[in-house]
Amino acid sequence: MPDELTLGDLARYTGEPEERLAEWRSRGLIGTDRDRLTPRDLERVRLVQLSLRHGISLDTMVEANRTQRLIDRYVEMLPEPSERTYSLAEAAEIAGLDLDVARTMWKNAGLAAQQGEELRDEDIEAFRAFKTYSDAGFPLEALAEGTRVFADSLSRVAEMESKLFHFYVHERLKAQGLSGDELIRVTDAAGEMSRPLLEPTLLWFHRKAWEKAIREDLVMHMAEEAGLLQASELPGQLQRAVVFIDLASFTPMTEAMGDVQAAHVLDRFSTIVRESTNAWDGRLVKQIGDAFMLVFPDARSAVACCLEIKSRVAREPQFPALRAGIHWGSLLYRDGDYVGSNVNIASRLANDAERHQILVTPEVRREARDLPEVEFVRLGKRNLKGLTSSFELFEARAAGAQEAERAVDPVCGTELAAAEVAARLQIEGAERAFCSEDCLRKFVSSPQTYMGAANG
Amino acid sequence: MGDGLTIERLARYTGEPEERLREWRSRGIIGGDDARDDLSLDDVERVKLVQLFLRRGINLDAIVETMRSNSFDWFYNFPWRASEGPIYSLAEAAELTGVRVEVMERFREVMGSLGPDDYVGEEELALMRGWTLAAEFGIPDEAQFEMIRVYADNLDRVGEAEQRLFRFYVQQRLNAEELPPQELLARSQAAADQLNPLVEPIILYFHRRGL
Repeated sequence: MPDELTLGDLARYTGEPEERLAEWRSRGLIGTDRDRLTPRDLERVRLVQLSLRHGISLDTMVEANRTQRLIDRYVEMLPEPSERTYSLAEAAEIAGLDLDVARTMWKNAGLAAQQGEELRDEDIEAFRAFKTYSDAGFPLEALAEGTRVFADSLSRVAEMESKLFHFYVHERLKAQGLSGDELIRVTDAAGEMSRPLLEPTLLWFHRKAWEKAIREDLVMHMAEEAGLLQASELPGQLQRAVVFIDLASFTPMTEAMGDVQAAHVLDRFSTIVRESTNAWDGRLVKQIGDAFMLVFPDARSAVACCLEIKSRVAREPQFPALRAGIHWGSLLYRDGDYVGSNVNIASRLANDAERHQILVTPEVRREARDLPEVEFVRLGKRNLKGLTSSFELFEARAAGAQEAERAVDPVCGTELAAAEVAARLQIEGAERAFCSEDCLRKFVSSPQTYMGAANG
Repeated sequence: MGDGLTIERLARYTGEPEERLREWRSRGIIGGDDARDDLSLDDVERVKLVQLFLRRGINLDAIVETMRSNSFDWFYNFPWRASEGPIYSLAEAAELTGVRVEVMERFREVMGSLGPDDYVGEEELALMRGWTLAAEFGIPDEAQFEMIRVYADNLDRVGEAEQRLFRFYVQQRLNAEELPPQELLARSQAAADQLNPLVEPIILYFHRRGL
């Protein structure tokens, strides 16, 4: 790519009509480098396009760049553009990578949408790495899967870094009264200090994660050799216990308490789930709101972990009850996730569970039958939503455990020890307990809404 | 502390009783050939690995046999592993870095390090020193823990994908060729040697693209 571009070049690379680019130039959004258009203007155009798609007007952008140099600073933060750029076909040829493989990689990484077909030297280096993986025996679907996991995960990390910096550094400085050049200077200084720490942090977490993954792999080898585990028949197939666990009344609680208070409860629950999962050699596959999907190498660990989480949740003050479902069987590892009918069964079990209930299948009971101090209470056959066959279900419980007597706030669903009850109300011959006067007021204003405490 | 580890210190870092560690040493699972040899940082990893095997129902005899065959030596020789250098308890590391013990514990918890008095190596110490900047910027504890969770969850997913895909598409293909054990090990090792150095540049590449 030449050092200097024409409006026609810029229009061709970005898909934006020349007329509109000319307007942006006249308003100072592009072409700011000694009145020339350069490869840096490609990034400026992309940022303006993105802002427009988000409903930010051209006037607002012009003003933000005039007062805070927002667009200028964004472009200054980017690495220097490559000496030249390449088409996808050129890059694939230089790297020795099959064009179809290159195209699949480029799309799966989300870079086709982000960067178009304008590749840089570092993209060619990435293609060379893909070529090495391909030569080592990775088929296209495995390369595509790996690319998706890397791109998705690292995009989430980058998003977190950028958002937290914005919320806790930039916004805090604004709240302290900084504005204009001073705000820009202090924000930039903080960015300069923190940026060099990001990549070492990233690599440290990766090394720890990789060590953990390798350890697990060693155990799988050993377990196969010891005849404790069958080798898989299909790529990606694994025998695992899968757990779905959530809070039984998180939705009404969020409605009653508000997002911030609910986020505190979620933070606590998340910490408990993660600590216990790690302690029992499990893996957190995903978290969607208050719902967690976990996998464990054996059913015993899954059951023990859920019982530990249940016990810890029960000790939390003013906390909702949990519910969980566990199933054991063959799963398919795909895109950093686990899929298959056995995953669906565990998910349905959790949906079907009542407050405090850990529902398990006969497969889990069989695998975990010798767990000390655990009992499996037969519940009979049940139909699970969306699944055609009926299932014999059991509830896993800590043997002899006495559950503490707790009232349930009918509005927010939190469980209350006697000392935590803020208000009581006799209605239709039964006493209702509330965590706060706010919940009591809500109940009184619409008792019918809250008469049956809902799961959610 | 020095390079050598005592049994007492190893017990502290791993939560394993000293008596059992002595038995493992006598069976060649930890320590060098000579019983007087110092224990090393690698032995902390060996103990953790043995603990994991035992939790998964693999018995000590099978572990001893595999350890003797040196099948796992490559695990201890990964390029990033700091096999030498001082290590510290969490309290010592907290004092050296200025990071509160509570923050360090949360770091370890989300990473799955659950020893009763886990050790901290030089690399982690450097990371913790950098982490003090987050507090200096005014990022509250909860947001710091959120950062740790996002890093841990996502890099965990990446680490798992690397290992699983390597296993499914390289190791299992080699297994299917029914090679003699030593050749299988050598070819698997050669593939890992070729691919492992690519991982960190790819991570940095995707991270820079995400920013």
